[in-house]
Amino acid sequence: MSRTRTSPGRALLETLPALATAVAVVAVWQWAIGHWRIPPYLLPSPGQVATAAWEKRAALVQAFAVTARGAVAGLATAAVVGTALAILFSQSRMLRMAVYPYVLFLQTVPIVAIAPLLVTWSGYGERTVILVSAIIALFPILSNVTAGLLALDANHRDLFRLYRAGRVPTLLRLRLPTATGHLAQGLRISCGLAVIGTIVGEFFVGRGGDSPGLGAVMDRWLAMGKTDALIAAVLLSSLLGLAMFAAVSLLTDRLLRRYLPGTGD
Amino acid sequence: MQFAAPVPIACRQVSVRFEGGRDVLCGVDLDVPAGAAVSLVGPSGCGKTTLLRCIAGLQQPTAGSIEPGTGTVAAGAMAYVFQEPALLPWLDAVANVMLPLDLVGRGTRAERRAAATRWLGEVGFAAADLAKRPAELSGGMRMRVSLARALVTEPAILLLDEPFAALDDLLRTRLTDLLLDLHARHPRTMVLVTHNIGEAILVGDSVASIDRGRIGGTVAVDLPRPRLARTRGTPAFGRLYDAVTDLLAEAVR
Repeated sequence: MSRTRTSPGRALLETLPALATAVAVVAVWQWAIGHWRIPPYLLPSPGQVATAAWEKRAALVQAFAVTARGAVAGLATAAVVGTALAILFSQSRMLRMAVYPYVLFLQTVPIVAIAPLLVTWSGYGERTVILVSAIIALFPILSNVTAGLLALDANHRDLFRLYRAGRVPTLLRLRLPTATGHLAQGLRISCGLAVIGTIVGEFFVGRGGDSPGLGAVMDRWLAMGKTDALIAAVLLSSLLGLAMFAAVSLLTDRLLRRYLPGTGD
Repeated sequence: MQFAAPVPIACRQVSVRFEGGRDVLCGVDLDVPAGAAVSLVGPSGCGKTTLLRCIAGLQQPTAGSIEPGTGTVAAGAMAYVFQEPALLPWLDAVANVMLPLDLVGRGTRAERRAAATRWLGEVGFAAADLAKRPAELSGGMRMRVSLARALVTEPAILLLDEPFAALDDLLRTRLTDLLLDLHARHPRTMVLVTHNIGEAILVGDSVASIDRGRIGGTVAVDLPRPRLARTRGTPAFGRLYDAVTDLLAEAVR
């Protein structure tokens, strides 16, 4: 099946409204500062933020790289652990009934409340940051993949039963391939969460750790009252979330289109 | 590879009660001699598919017995063609047809691939499309792959659940011809569930109607084989068509 591709010109045209919104927000921001005489320590102007970003570019680029590495590692850990747990859940209804409620419970506990405990148990290091990131990114992957592994087409299930396929062939040749789309969906949801988890982890670890990710530099600049640099770091963390989402979407879309023609949206 | 020798099917007092207490089958007796074909007709919801699933071992009857039981025939000796092609979307046509051989662990990979390619040829699948995935195939081609997948294990029993219901008339006629041709060349015990009276007569040695969970009646089809779609134009076919129509009218009364 052929797929309609968006031409570069059309893609540019489609991004114009979003760009126009950004320009309007910056303009209103600049105007509001002059109109209400807002002091820079409360809200610096867009120009001051840009200047601070340029002056702190070395620290920001390094922090961006550290946070990106933590988020990717957290997402990868969540993908591996989430898929492994989902496989176990798909094989035993009893296990699913016994453990799944606690996974839901874990999801309801604020990560900010767990992070200090994790620092206590795991120490001030990148490992703890990855752990926080993985915990917050785990649930969408686990729930999506579990749903995918269980959502078999009735005819496919009958086909495998007819030829008396055991658990392992059914898992490898039917359940896992069926769940690939669900895994892709889980990864897309979780990549933003992985960035949030990494930054939360860095907030706690950064105070005593030696890896100044975006969370750590934000914490430091907050304490120093450098609001302009702080806003630059916040914008950069949003950019990281968007970049992760775009990268994961592009990768999963391509893989799905190759693996499952007619899907991949 | 050779076809497994056809085996008879014997259903004795088969009953199925669904959750909620609805009786779908109430003591069905059905005999299909080895190598013969029986068409099952009846109104929607009368239990045709349920009976076919019981024969395939995909559903356990609440009461009664079915021979051969699933444990008494080798895996792959019974094949089932679903209403939908039910192909695995991530596999190409050849891999889809190889799947039953992979699952029952028959032959080397090269032998399985050769068998799949041969059966795709038998059902008239274009050689140029062998590496295509289901999403890249037309509805008719997908059904041909589904038919080849059912036949690749050379089964003794072939069960077909309204396999051509979703196809247009021309394609349906072509695929019915193909089924007749395959049955003429490789006879096996066959049960076809269909809503199409013409198809039921052309394929079956007899047509049985299911009426309120029981066999309502049977019409023996004495048309000579090989049969073709144009057999529909003969006076004998017309008489059989009237007889099956009367049988169905009884079932829906």
